[in-house]
Amino acid sequence: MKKYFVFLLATLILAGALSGCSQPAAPSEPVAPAESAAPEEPAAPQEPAEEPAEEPLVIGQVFWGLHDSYQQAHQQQTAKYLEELGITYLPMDGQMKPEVQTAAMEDLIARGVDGIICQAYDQASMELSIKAAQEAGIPVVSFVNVSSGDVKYPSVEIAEEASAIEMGRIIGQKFKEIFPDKQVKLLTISDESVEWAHNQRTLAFVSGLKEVHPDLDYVFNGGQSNREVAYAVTEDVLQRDKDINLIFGYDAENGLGAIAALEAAGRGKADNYVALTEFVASVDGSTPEILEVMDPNCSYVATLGLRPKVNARSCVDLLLKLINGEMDMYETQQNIKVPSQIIDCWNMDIDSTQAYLKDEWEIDLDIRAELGL
Amino acid sequence: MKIGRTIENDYLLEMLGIVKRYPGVNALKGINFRVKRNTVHCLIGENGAGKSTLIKILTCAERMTQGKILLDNKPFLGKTVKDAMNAGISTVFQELNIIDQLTVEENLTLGREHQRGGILLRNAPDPSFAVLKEFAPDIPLKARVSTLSFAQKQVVEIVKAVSADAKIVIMDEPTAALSRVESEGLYDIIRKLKANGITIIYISHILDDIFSIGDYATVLRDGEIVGTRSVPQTERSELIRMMIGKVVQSKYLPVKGKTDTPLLRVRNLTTSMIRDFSFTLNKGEILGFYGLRGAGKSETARALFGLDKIISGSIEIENKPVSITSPRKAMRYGIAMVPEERLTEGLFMKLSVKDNIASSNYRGISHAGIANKKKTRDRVEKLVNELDVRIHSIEQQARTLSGGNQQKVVIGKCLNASPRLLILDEPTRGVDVGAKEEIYSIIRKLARENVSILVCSSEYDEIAALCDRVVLIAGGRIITTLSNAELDSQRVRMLTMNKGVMT
Amino acid sequence: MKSILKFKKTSYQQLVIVGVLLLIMAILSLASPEFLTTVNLINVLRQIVSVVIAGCAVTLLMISGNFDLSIGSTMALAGTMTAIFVTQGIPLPAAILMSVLIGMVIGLINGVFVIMLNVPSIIATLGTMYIMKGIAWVTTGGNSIHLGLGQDYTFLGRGFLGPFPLSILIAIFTFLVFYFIQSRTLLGKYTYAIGANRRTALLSGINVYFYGVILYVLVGLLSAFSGVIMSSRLGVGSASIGVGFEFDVIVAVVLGGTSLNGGEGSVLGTITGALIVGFIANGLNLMGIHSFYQDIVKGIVLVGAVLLDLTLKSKLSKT
Repeated sequence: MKKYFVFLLATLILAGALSGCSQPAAPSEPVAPAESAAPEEPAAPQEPAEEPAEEPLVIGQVFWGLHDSYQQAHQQQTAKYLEELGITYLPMDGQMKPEVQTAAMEDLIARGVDGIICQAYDQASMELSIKAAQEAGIPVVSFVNVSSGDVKYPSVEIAEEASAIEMGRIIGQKFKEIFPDKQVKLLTISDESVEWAHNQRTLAFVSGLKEVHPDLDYVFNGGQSNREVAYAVTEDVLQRDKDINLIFGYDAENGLGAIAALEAAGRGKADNYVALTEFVASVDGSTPEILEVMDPNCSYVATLGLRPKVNARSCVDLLLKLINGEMDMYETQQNIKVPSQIIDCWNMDIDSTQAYLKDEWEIDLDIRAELGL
Repeated sequence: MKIGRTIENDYLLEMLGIVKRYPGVNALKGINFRVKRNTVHCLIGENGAGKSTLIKILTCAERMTQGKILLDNKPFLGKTVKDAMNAGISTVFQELNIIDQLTVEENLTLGREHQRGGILLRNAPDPSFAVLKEFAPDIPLKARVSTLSFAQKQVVEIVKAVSADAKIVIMDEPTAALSRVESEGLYDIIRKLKANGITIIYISHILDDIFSIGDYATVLRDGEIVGTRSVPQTERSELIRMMIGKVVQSKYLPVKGKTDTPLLRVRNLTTSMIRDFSFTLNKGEILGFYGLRGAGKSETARALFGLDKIISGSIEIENKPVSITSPRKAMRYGIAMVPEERLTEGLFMKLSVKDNIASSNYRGISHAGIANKKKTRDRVEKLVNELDVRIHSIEQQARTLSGGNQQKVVIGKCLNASPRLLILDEPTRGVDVGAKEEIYSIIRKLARENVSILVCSSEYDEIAALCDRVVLIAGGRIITTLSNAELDSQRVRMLTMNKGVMT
Repeated sequence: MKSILKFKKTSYQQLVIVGVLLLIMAILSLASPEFLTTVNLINVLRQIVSVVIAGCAVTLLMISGNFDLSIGSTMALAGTMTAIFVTQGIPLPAAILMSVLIGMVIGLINGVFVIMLNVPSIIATLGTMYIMKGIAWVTTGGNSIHLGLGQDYTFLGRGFLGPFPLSILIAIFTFLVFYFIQSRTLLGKYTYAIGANRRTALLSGINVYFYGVILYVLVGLLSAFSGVIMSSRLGVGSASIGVGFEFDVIVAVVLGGTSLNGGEGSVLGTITGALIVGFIANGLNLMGIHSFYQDIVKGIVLVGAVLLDLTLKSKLSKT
């Protein structure tokens, strides 16, 4: 036991000693940096190399959680872009856990990267890490989350709310054209307890719609983020009120649940993109939704798609500005807002949709073959 | 060690009028058990006779329904195991109460450490260390117990019991897992204990033990005391008669089914444990394998049943060479085995008697993987009746049976596979004398029905009573093969004890 | 002679784990030049602080043959409660003390169910895992608490004492205390005894119930404390902290050579296990390897190390 203890201790001391030797690039603190490091500083500043031109830049990114298909597409697009630029890329999975995100940020700071892109799972704890990075001289760009005030940093935002309002307007206009005499009877499938999604997606959509249809009849809101529940809610509401003619689901599950219930009731049809009885719309832009939208015989009219490529490039571009000193890393007033892609059956055709999927998501989808057209 | 107490009364322990009732059972029916100071008092009886209940009451593991206990002429009113230990009653169980992962030293002081405020004092001397040194100077204090042999562990446990200021040490079948030589070592230790003024209650079925060290023997049967005898003045047969209430017939009876046609012929069989084993077994013959523990008996059985890898040699069944690489294959050739470790290898303790017996063979009683309930039941009931297994119902869990009945269930399980060759490894270990005789007659009956039997045993009497021929083994080699008529207890023991004498 | 040879077996087995650690460190430092830097090593140590602190107590618990799945939830609850207490105006030290007390109560509940009422430990603690996680979500309403925590809230997790990170010092202190408990106290010895053979321990007059419950209380205490440190490090009280943390701890403990059947193991092994897990995650992160692959590597190392241990054990016992 004792021998083992001594052995372990020796190992650690050896590692510590070696770690001192393996830092020839940082001559300011050759060994025992612990003594010279200022207290109260979470990480000893790791000066980036004096001549950045000599070595390629290194950019790290801490993701919200890489199991998600959007996050993966975002990572692929960033990797591709950085390769073009000749920059080394270190993506890290936040795994939807604040402690994992913090550890990843610390690893990147320790690695002495030139800049970090991050998306917080828990904003408060991420801001502590951002602060630590900034103190170590590493600029940080936040994706989605906007500085809360205590810690200052620029962000790339997804302008989902604006896009949802815009989608509401477009659908309102088209509704007038196709059903000129009808009053809008609206059902939304949206979980109010998921506040951000309900506000930025559902309520935003409704506000856009109201600009065109101030007299709309908002019949019901319910549901979770679950296809079965969406199906049941739609079915129940249709029982009570057959006149429902516009259904909005705040994510793919809810939109697809609604259309399934409509089809089961013998509805949900369109004649060459002209809906017969109602409109269905949703937010997410997933492949199954897109296929419904592009189906000329289906009354699914629109969905809102994220744009991983634009988002990825915007984050990198913004970060490079910080690294090159073109912008202050504490700037909060020049955030980039990336609108989402509105995919509707009137302004986009099959070819342009396929081009969007290929370009943004690197997805090769033969929509005609899928729909049997 | 306390030596030479003043003797006030001859009896150190008196258990008077002890009654113990379990729901529906009278386990002890008013027992008067007296143990004289500084003697080895043997307590014998069949399983279920009440020995263990009596001991549990003495060690406060169970409460008596009625009765009183006098210890040193004073009433003993302990309520917990700890109380009994404090009063000087220690027990050495069959499954040793000793912790493999701790050192000898740590085990000896377990539960009564030298400590201050929960912190162990280092190198604090303990009287038990000296006792260990006296009894077994070869056991190092700092060694982990897992590195000791079973016999050494037992010594550690005895020392632990004695050093807890024990007046009475109860030993529960201490030689059951020991070789002959190790048993002799234990006898020495028991004699030393006695010389040091300790009284011993010794539970055993093994008559050799009793006649080697016993001063007195009390026989229990059906919850009552049959009698107490002074051992030096008593015959073996008398003790046996007292135990089972009838005369035992453990004489050799030649089996009629024996033929001269060989079923099994083994040539130069070698595994990592045995070398160059050659023998034949005829149809309907009972062949014995006799030797000490570890000599190669069980190892031969394991090789024949496909459990140990065969390195070289050949096995023929009915003149055809066979390759036995797994128990499944062995069973396909009509071989069945009653393993030595009944509890862990022979039975599914938590399953019913029915499921245990049926498990070996579902052919003819199942269809498409589903067992026919009625056919299963009929087959199991038939076997249970043939073997005279005493149970309330075939749904009874195997672990609730006595040792003898469990062994019959294991045999039933083997017979369900209709074997041509039945291997029995220590068929009567841990089985009481009465059930032993029943198992012998089952074996004889099977042989009459032309099943070939291979019995591995380290009990001479068993081999002598049962086998037509006996293969003597020592040190992984066959020494010689004797017919029953040639058997002689002195000679056989000498041959098997001296390794390699005749190789 | 023979026994001396065999006695070496256990220390030999522990050397194997250190060997694995060294091997991993060697590979990683070759693969990533940033790996063997002081800053990074301190980083790793800081990242494994929680696993080490909770792991010390869990090691003893597992040596005693029991199990606790509620560690992560206890962490989450303790972290959120500390934050809530502080926002309610309770001074930080008192808030920490109260949260740790809550952890001890959770441990006591686990102990009573497992030790006194004989509920299998996996089931009982699975129950408390859900209950405590639920309570943490209910009390925070699903939000993370970070407003009004004050400057010194992050001191425990991020602060320095002189040149040394405070959290690492706490972990080292905890380890030393548990090393002492394991090797020099009655509690330590009885833990091994109970885990190796509970019946024997009982018959040797050891109060197995008392010691069994004490171990659960210790696990509750240290899980809660590591939750407090984690919450301080992250600067928030959040119910989502510590999800799956119990498995991180168990992986470290098992890698460190503690037997799932009880009776064997050591706090020192657990530290080594935690270092292995920490270095792998950190090194692969530095190399920019996707976390999915990291999971695969973690799994292989866990099974591989245990397999190596078992093979060596059976080889050694044969000779």
